[in-house]
Amino acid sequence: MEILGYLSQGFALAMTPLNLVWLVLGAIMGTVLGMLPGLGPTTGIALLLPLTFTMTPDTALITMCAVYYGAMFGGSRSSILLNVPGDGAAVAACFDGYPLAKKGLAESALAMSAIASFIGGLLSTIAFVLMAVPVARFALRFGPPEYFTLMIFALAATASISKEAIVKGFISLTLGLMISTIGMDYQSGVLRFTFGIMELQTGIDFIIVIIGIYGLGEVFINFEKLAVKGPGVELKKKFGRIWITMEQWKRSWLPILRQTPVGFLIGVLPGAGGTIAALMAYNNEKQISKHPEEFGEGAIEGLAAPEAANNAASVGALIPMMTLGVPGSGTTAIMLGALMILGLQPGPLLFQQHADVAWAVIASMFLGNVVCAIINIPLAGVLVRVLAVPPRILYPLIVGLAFVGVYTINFSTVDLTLLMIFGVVGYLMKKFKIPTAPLILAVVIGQSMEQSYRMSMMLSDGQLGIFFRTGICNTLLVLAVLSVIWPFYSDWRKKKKAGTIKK
Amino acid sequence: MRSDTILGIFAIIFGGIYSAQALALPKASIGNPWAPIYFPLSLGVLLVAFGILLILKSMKSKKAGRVLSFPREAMILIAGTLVLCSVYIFLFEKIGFISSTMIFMASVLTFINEFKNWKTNLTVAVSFTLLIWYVFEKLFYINLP
Amino acid sequence: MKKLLTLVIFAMVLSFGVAAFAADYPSRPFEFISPGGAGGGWDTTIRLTAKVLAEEGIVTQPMPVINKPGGGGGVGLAYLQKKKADPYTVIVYSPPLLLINLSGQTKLSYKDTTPIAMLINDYGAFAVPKDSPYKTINDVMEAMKKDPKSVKFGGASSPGSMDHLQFLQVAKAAGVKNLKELPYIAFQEGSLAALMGGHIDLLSTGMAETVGPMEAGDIRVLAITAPQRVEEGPLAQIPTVMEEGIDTAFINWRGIFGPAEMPDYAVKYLEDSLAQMVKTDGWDEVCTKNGWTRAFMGSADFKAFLDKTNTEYKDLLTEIGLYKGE
Repeated sequence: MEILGYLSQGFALAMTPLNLVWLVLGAIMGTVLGMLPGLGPTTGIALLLPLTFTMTPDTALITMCAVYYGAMFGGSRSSILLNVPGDGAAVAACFDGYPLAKKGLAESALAMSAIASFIGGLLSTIAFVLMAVPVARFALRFGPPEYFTLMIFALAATASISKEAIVKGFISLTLGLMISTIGMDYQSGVLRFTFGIMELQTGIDFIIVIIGIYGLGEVFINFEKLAVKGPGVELKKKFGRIWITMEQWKRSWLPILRQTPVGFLIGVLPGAGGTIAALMAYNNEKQISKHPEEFGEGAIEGLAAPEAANNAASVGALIPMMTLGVPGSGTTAIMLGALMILGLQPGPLLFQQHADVAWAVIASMFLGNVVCAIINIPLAGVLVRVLAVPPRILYPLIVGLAFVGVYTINFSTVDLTLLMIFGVVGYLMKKFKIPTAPLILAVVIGQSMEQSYRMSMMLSDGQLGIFFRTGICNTLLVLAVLSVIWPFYSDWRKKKKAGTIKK
Repeated sequence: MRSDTILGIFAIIFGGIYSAQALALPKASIGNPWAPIYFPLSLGVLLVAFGILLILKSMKSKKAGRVLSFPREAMILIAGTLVLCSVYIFLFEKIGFISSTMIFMASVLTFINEFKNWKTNLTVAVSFTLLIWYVFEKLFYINLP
Repeated sequence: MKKLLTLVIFAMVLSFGVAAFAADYPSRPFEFISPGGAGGGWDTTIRLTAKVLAEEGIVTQPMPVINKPGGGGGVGLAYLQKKKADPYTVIVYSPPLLLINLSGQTKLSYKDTTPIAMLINDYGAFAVPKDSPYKTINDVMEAMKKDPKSVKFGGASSPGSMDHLQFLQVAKAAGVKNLKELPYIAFQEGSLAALMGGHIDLLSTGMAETVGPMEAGDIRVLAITAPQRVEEGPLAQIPTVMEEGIDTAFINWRGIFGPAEMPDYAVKYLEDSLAQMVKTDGWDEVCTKNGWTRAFMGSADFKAFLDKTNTEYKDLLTEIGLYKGE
């Protein structure tokens, strides 16, 4: 009950007018930043930095957190409407969100994404309150070998969900891993496949790959429809209320509840993050679904699950920073720096020395989720009208937006050239019916997978046994094997069932 | 040719080139000199293997394979857009964001939305550029060239 | 005769032009460059410098900051070459400016810039998990002397960059041989978490990063690389490597540079402005909040410092076989 006392004090501080105003402003700013391709929470918080120097620590932290999860809410808007992910964590929202919009269900998709995000965020905030410290301690047990086995599990699960085209799935995966080898090898300092281009030394930002393959690739595919005279794509004339039907809710509530913990736990692990959480959640749901064939064609639960998971991950990512003083991601690293400038030292002592601030931030996370949901539903009503723009005007706008957004990631025109290349790659992958999800996941985790393998080898002086050293490793390896076998097993079971019925 | 066969051949060729490039990578000067090469090399070999597998699979399947079609008009649109994008990239940092983006948007719109709608095209190009510039530069303090 | 006349007139116009240029300099906005991404060390330094310069009224022209991240600072350096002799371009750098050249990441070096002034110093720290058997930095060195592979040490940058070198420099001064064989594990993210989880034996990192977990008792800081002890705060109780009997120090300096061949009047103006800035209360506050040590050095001294430092880094990199420059 001690917790409730702290929490109510936290609410009292978080609800002061000044903090509330900043909370709302931060949430709006985050949503807009999240929607714009290329810009995400990291940019948002870096931009806020100079402003926060003039604030009190509680206001500064509340504002930064609001930007952070505001971006998580906003990122999927453009995934659903335009197939252009606003940031990495929103990529899974393209898989089913965009097909839903194409089917004329954009309103439901937008509403579901906001609702799932809200539930995911809210539940994980409760989890934060109840078990932040033990969860953070658990995350510390993840060293390089544990990360490596986690990545293996993630890759195995993704490649195996495309079982109808498993060889193509593996080709896609390998190409993705190849992209991730570009840049400096972190363990030896050797430059690989940079062709003398300095901008490539830090590797290719996966957001460029995502925007190219999904955003531009989709535009190019649609050119085929434009080339045929006539309206081509049907324009949306009537717009309904931004809400979901009972049937959609029935399909989605369980996936949301199932994938929230997954996202939360992945978020807590330093270095994993929202993108992996969303992709894993999508895979999990597709694997256990009774009708996996609907995934990718506009299954509402295929949108709900990753949306819940990536918001849960964003809450989880705050845990190592707040409770241990260790940054878990680029975004939280900047927040940590800002806190130190404000004279707060994040870590276990934060809850002793500045309990009021710490609990106000936690309380603001509850409020922030509500605020984001309230902002996003009417906003969706405005945004959905983009579908009324004739495609011949809309597509050039998407191209323009993608270019500007990608430029602001590194302020480099090399990235723009890469964007063009990946646009063509995306188009060809669609033409050849190569699944894109394995490539995306491989690009996201490829580098840390190889590096964690090499780190493990250095730690063990070359003994492979290190990958079986803990229960975590072994569990993850078993799960990896199971996820490869499972689709074949369920297939076999279905056939057997069908066989007995025939007899 | 079936699309899977083409893909298989591509995978074999690309995997081969990539493996050769991987072998030519510089060796590490600390630790195991081959350490940075193992991973890329195995990827190259894997891609070749998957390519062969794909070709074998598509030869075995009795179903008539998919043959790809690339409609000529669509190809013109894609190629044209790519050319315009390249010009945009070239000009972007040279003449600055506002002028290059206006020119780019106007020309892409003209190309895709036909010249006769030039009034709409011009309005969209100018308002898009100014809106983006305002949002980035004034609201978020992100300096564009 | 005509030719000579033209030449004379040309020369006059030219000298007049330059003089006019120098007299009303600065007459247009500056361009401040951060060679790293938003929110990083370089970015913070140059943004706060611009902020204090403007707030104290030392420089009245606008000083917008642009980011040119990539290649460990090399992209910014390449961009600077396009601005040769421009009196309005200013960039911030620290040791990686020298290291990316020495390790062969770029052909460009600090010689392709004009050093204007050093502003601040920061130092490294060596930390171990709380239950580590190593009580002092010398325990670590003894263990490494016995078996170079026995201590797995990590950092948050690639081999041959700061976290790696600062440790090697101390190890070398302590008499550890076979520097090349010491296993260094490079993390991109989560190096501190790996230390707290006991996955590595020692972490070489920046001083400020260690404060939180140290105060909470999750890690112990064995030594810092500063030449003198920190005067106040929790780090004041941590010995320097010199106090521990290892005669060396590693400084993470940060300074302001202009493009190569920057005109003298511009260097002079900026050097004076910065010298004035570091005396203001605004700058004091910025340094205290960020935990920076103030270390101003003018253009000529800074240049000499860079020459000396570059040789030191070069020797160290040559010893571990990472030197790839020419």
